[in-house]
Amino acid sequence: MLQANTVVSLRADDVRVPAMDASDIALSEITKVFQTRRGDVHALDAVSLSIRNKEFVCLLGPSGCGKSTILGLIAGLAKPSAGTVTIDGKSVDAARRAHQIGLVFQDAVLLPWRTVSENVSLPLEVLKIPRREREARIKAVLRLVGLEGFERRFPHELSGGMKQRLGIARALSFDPQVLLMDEPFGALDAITRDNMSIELLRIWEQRQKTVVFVTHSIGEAAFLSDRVVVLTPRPGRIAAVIDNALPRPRPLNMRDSAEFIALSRQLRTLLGTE
Amino acid sequence: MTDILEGLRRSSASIGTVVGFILVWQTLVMLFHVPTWLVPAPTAIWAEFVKQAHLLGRHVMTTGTGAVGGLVIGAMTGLVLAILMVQSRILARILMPLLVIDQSVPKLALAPIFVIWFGTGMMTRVVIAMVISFFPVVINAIRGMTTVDRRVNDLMATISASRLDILTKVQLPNAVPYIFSGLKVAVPLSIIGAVVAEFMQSDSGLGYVVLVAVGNVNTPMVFVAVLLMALLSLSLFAALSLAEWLVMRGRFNYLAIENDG
Repeated sequence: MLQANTVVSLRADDVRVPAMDASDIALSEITKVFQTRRGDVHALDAVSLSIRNKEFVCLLGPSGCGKSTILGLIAGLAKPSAGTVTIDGKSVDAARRAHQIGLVFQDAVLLPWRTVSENVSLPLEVLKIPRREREARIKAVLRLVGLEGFERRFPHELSGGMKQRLGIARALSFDPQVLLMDEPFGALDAITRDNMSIELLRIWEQRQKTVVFVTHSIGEAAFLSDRVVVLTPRPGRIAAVIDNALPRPRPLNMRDSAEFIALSRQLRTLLGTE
Repeated sequence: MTDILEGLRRSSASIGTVVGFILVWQTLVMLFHVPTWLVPAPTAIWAEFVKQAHLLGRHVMTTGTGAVGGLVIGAMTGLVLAILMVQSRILARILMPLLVIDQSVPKLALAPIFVIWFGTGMMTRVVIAMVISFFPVVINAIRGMTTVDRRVNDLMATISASRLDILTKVQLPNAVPYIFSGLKVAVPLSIIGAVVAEFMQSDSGLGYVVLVAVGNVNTPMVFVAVLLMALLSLSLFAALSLAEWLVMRGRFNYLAIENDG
């Protein structure tokens, strides 16, 4: 399964990549205009981006820069006004039908009347996976995210961090190649957030997924990513794509290193907050 | 045991209010010598009830059967309509105005026509109870099925879930508490519907008892019948609450917690 990924360093001035790339996810000249009563809102303008298989990419930008819109376009929840999105060279709809896309939201979005196991089971039921296999998968994925022993609990009995673990377990349950995460740790306290970041990297390394992670936290983007896509607001444009060369595995105290601080500073400059 | 005592302690104010109300009523009637045909004393009503109790069971059953029949058929019709309207926007656009018109028409005023159409038997009771009780179920079921978090729909869309999956795994479970709210509104309405049918023309039921008692100027009996209607309504409500508790406990505990918090 391991493909030889050509590692191309992308600078801000050569981010435009043709759609028919060998990359996993390709956005080509994407424009997204929302029609509202007060007129057209240009959410995204000529965004081109290529995300490699098994890469961890963070979309970093202030709120309103269209980073969640990009996620919605990759998930096929919205259609671009212009441009194309492909996953593995196929259309987004085809990828969706092949169940290649897993979604994780900021506040987990669990079904409150379903237990932990049943929430993980939901996509498996939709995919018509037989009960036996379903149970085995639920068990495996709950172990992966550290929710063993909580199978019969209901979401309201879980802490914020555990809810997020459950949201991740549900997204991983049907083994999609792409994990789209929309500020998944945005509502968590700082300590839980650190733990979840470590956990996510462990899960990502174990399961070898392509992750597109939306965040407005510079520290989070620097800590997690292989590459950081910095976006500017209204209309959303790519300001820069920064390679994150920090070595893996990454312990929490890596954030004290000079390299980490330099990367954070670079990102902050690009965001225009310094 | 402590639960029962705790329950008694908490409901003591309500029980006290009812007892106090009856005592004040009794005292006023006795103090001012109000004639029984105008306002009977609680003791007179009780005496009448004891005297006629053996005859009343049949009438309670008849009215109850009509109301429950109408409620069940009305609720099922309402649920099916709600599902159809949530599934199809065109159907929703066609049916919604009809529903609103239906709700604006004072259906009880149509009771004489229902008698012409369905006769004076059980059928008319059931039909009137049904047309009057299905509306709150439709409205609540639609609200329950459509107040799903948009992102849950997104989630279902990204795994290419079918409409049936969305209906059975998301929309209907989400609507369960709402449907129970609708049913609770519908219960007293269904009794009113059945009784109105009996007011038209019938030979049994609590509505019929009221008509006969008024004809005989037997005011205590009128009160007995009306109190029995209230009791019937309360028992149906209690049965529904029990069903609700059985369905909701565990899975829908989060609602209780939200309300407490």
